[in-house]
Amino acid sequence: MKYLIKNVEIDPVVKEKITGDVLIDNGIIKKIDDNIVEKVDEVIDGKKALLLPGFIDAHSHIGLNPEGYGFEYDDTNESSEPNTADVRAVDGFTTSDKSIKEGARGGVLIYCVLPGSSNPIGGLGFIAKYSKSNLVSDFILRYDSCIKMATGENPKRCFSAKDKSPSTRMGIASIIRNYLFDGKNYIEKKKKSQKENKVFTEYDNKMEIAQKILERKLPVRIHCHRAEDILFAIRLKEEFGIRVSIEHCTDLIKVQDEVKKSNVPVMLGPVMSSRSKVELMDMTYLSYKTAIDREIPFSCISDHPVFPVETLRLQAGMAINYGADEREMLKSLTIYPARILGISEEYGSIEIGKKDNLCLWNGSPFDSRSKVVWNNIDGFIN
Amino acid sequence: MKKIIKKGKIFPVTGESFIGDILIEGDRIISIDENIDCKDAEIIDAENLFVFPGLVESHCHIGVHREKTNQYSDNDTNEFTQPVSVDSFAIDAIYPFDHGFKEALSTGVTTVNVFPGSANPFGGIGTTLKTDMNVPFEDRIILKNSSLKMALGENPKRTHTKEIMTRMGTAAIIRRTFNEAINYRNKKDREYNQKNEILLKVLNKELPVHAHAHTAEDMLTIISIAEEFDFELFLEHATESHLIADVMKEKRIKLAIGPMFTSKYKIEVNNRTLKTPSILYENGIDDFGIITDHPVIPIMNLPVEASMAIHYGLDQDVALKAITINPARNLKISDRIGSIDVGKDADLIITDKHILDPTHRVIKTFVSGELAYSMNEERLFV
Repeated sequence: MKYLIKNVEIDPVVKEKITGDVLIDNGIIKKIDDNIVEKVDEVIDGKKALLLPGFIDAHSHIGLNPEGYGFEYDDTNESSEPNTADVRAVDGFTTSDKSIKEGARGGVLIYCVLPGSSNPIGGLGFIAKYSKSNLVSDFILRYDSCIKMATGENPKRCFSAKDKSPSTRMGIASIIRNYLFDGKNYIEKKKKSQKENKVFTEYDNKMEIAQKILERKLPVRIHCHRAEDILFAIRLKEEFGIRVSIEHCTDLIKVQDEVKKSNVPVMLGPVMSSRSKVELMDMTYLSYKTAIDREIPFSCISDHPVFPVETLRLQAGMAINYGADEREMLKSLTIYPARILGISEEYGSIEIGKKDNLCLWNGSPFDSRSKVVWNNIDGFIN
Repeated sequence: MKKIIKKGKIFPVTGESFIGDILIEGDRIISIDENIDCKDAEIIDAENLFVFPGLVESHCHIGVHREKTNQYSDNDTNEFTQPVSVDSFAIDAIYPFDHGFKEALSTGVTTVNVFPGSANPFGGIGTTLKTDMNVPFEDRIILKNSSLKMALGENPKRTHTKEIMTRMGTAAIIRRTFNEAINYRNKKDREYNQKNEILLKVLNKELPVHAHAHTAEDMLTIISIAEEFDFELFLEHATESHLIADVMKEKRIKLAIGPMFTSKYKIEVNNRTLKTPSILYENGIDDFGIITDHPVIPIMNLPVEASMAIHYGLDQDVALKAITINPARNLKISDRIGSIDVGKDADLIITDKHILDPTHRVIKTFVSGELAYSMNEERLFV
């Protein structure tokens, strides 16, 4: 299908805004110009509204715990054991979560869905795009794109209550390190059986994942709030040479030098929630400004349902209120998470060759009064 | 940047006191003399004041047992769930900005060794670091892995009611664990195991053991185990060491005594007394350290503990060594820390009276040549 969006203010995110038309053919942006004349299947009159790429929420639990239900639909944490590397968020994802629709109302069309943070090693996350379909497969952009790990209070609370390790941050570190050491042994074992021309009879799901982590094929997303947890994540990256991003990064300001030096991306947020536990004591919107000032790669996340994905844009707005640059905050919802998630070839900005992941806004997304009036999946929204 | 501390009464610890100047360049002491002239140096006037090396606390839990929140979520001292927590590293759980570091600086303590707690026969690995919170955390570290913490007596019994019922049980677990490590060493085709690799370092005398022991029988048990397995042993607390002073003298075991200001809150400290240091001294032992075990007693008590030992008969010079060079030597960092000597770290404190006069005040604390605490500016404690 070929369609033309006419008469809009285009914010490509990576360039200056222009007023004009956008031509889309078969889901790909083909042309951006002042005035495009072309035979198309459909013409959308933008009425001078603001065209933005759909937002990307790089850290979400959407679909894993549809709100309003209890145990039956709570599939965020497989907290039966501390290492559940081989559980996949996609296997718990339900398309009936009403937040998916609400998220689209807030301009969020792409989310990276991760298992929760109760386990030191939580499981595999995936990247989804908004769809009206009931089929999970219609949502998928990338299967098993990353692995979630967690430090700090959540694993401590979860497992010490069961009289199991970890009951401390030291215990969490030990479990994660030992998993990766076991992974190294597993790689050696595999190589050895290959060398000896033997059939490998010790295939292990968790170890296969450890191998991918160690071979840098699978990025590790580590939930860290406190300074010591952030420093541990950086240490882990250096010790094993793995790919790491720091999720939440609540104490960023205190350890900004170390984070900057390590070059790890930070997924900042949610700040739009209460300081419900000790490790959130020093939570502040100023973190966004710090990340921008220090040129630390970052994105703005909702951690839905910790706070609702629909209001992700308002969290970014609050960051602006606390001194963060508006352009940068727009990037933190679009091109920055796209780069960190490895999907920036297709998503994150309005450029020729990229996919049509688009929202029309009747005002600035950082203003609570603005609305998404059209997106490329639902069409016009009342 | 150079600094001269001028006209202070200098107590080098390793020599006689005298009135003179100390020249600092960068983080080192580069000259000590009766009169030093250096044009481009900042002058710090210490006339009528006292200059001591920064104090050393060789056994505390600052940063892993965080203060002011009083919640389990903020306490990472003991991995309660596993009696053998060899691969628990204190460094992964030290909150770099814990209140205890501030308290240490205001007391003149510039180096602390942070240990995991005493709930487990094998508690984990300690970390030695400086207390200046303005410096990035990794730059504060002196020894990433200072030693293996072990524990005997009531605490492991109380914690592990399933695995350990008696002191016999604790000793058996310790012997079993070392024997497993020996099996590991002897295995030809062994897979890397973090726990056993650490234990092999202990057995190769690359990593010392610091063992929590209060009663005479606990001390004698671990001494005999150390002889059986031939590892390097330091005794922590050593509450009843004055009852077996002759054994301590004969075996030349290095001791860290304290905290001496507690109630008899458990049976194994029934014989706790401030006379322990003086009795040991009378028996010809003068190389012990004194510890606070912060937060068991607050670190600000370190010089007071030493002064009370003098009250009960300890020699003043020995008491000063017990909070400076002796703990530094117990940690094997006395080439850098613990006395005022040319080439050593510029960790220095300026006081208005002798540090062992309990009415003294710490006026300035320098860590690695930088001013880290100033009484007049911060007025943290009066």
